[in-house]
Amino acid sequence: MKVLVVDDSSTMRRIIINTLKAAGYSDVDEAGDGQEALGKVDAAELVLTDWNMPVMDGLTFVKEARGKGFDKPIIMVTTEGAKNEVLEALKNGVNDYIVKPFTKPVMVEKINKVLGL
Amino acid sequence: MAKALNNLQLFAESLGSTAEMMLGEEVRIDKPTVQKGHKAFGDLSAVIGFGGDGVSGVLSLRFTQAAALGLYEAMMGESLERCGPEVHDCIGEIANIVLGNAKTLFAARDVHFLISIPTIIEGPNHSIRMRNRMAVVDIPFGFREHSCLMEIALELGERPAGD
Repeated sequence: MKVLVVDDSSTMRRIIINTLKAAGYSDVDEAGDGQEALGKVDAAELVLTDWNMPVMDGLTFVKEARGKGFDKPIIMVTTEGAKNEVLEALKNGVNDYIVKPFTKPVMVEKINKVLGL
Repeated sequence: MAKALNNLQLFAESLGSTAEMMLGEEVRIDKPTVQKGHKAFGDLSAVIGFGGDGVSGVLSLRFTQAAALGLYEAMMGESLERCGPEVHDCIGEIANIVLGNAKTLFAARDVHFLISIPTIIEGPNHSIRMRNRMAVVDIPFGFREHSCLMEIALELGERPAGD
């Protein structure tokens, strides 16, 4: 299963990728913003994306990806944890939500949940 | 201003939970004090502005080189010999999470603001000069053997023309 990790912070991308690999998801691609992610998303079966990024933010990326027919699970991993922001993301095609800071077990639990495992 | 001053503990609370979850480290957080003058401290600072809804200011996380390297090691599980782009990104992301988490805590109290992208300042024993009409509160913190500083600079209200 190919997982796409989208975050403008290389630190956060590495933390997420290390968490994915430790949980058995070894086929991982990455992008530094939503624009770059749009060029890679079609090959992905699961996407974890940040919200606040330069060039193209995560919510715009989700809308664009859903708009072109991408129907695989998308998890938003972000500091934007207020209730109205969570609702906005879910309304626009995000399947689940992880608020930073997070623990690695919480991330793995959310991933397994959206994949129905 | 009053909204933020009355809720300074939310910044400290956010720092504590961020360190616990992202670093697996317990941090020591000291009592906030109002800063007099421009405090010189550390070698690296991650600085993020925030503003909106009657609250605006700047959050800075300030580290010695040893502390920044220790934070990187705790977060990434590998040690580096010197501070470079990886460490800059790491402390910027931590500052982003601390302020983002504080933003969520403030939102639960119906205080809303937006936050900027982190900027990194580097230089031995540097100081950060905020605008004159800002109050700066120091919240010293530490982990392992390292002493660090969180500065919260808050706008004091209406500004005179040209300030």
